[in-house]
Amino acid sequence: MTVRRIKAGDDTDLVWYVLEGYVDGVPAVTTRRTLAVAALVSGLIDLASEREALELEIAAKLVRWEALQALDDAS
Amino acid sequence: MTDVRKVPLPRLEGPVTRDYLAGVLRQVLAAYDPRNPQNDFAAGLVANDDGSVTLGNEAFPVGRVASVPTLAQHLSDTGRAANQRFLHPITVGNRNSVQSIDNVLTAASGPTTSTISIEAHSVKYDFGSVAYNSGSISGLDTETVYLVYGSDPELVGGAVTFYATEDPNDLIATGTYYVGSITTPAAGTSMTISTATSANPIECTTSTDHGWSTGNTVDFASMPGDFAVLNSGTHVITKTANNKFTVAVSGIGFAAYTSGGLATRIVADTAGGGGAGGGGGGSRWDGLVNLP
Repeated sequence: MTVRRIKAGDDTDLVWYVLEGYVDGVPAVTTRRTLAVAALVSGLIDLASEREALELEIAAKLVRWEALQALDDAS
Repeated sequence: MTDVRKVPLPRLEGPVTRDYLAGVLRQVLAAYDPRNPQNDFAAGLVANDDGSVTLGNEAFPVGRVASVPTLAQHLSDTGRAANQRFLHPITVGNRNSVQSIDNVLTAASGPTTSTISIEAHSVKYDFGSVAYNSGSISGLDTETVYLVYGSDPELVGGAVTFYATEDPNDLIATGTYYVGSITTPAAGTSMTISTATSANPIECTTSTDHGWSTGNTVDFASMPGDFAVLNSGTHVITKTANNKFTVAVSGIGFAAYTSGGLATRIVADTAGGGGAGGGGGGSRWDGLVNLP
């Protein structure tokens, strides 16, 4: 699993901090989390916590996806 | 157009020579050579040095009165409509696209900020369906009406970045996919955790009556020592007393709780999508106030 920042390349990046988590070969679990820069700077939300939450979310998606693949293989 | 039957021949005195014939032939061929910028149809077609051709204002598709350049102005280089004026008109039920589920958006509030969650969904157009992965937007204001949108100019779908705005004008940029609107709920109440048991399940005692109910969801922060495991994610509680509740986490083997932990009830609300893809359809709004 990889988590990285996605930049829009324009003034949008001044307002929003976008995290994307993905697993190679499994596009269905790719998830983006948009964070308000103002809230990050003010300390109202924490980047590390948001990143951790994103990782947990993708891990859960991956489990469900792998269960689907196992079902396909069994049928 | 040159009528080759009427091409004036140079005055000839004497026998027909090779040069004479070559001159006549060059004159005729020049009129029909697309590489010649002065050819008879240069206003419609000119061949370029790289082998391509340029269609001019006198190039017309069969049966059309508008020239090719005029028609091409309505299309971008990617084949998309140059602007909304040339989109397919609204079709069924005042919509030109339909979302796959009703409650695409949900919002929840912690003690100070709100998060909007966008469920995985698809949007159906006349050309087929576009599927979007789930996403979220955090750090938003509580008790605020937000318009949620994503950027997907090519209508590819997948994992797109979702944004929230209070300004409808942000929705009309090219390539914007309007997901829908939602009001973030009021900030959740926060309680100090006086004690927490090293048992299964962990039972927390709040400093004052919490007023919560079984099935409510809470978010922990600053839980100390072994109890820090509760600081990640949210937890559904079971009320055991007016100032106590349990969470489905085992504290067996945890070092004794000290102090400083906080629990905040997450207040959730839901709203339908009502958005649309490119162009119109979906929910209407009349100004900032009367949003659906």
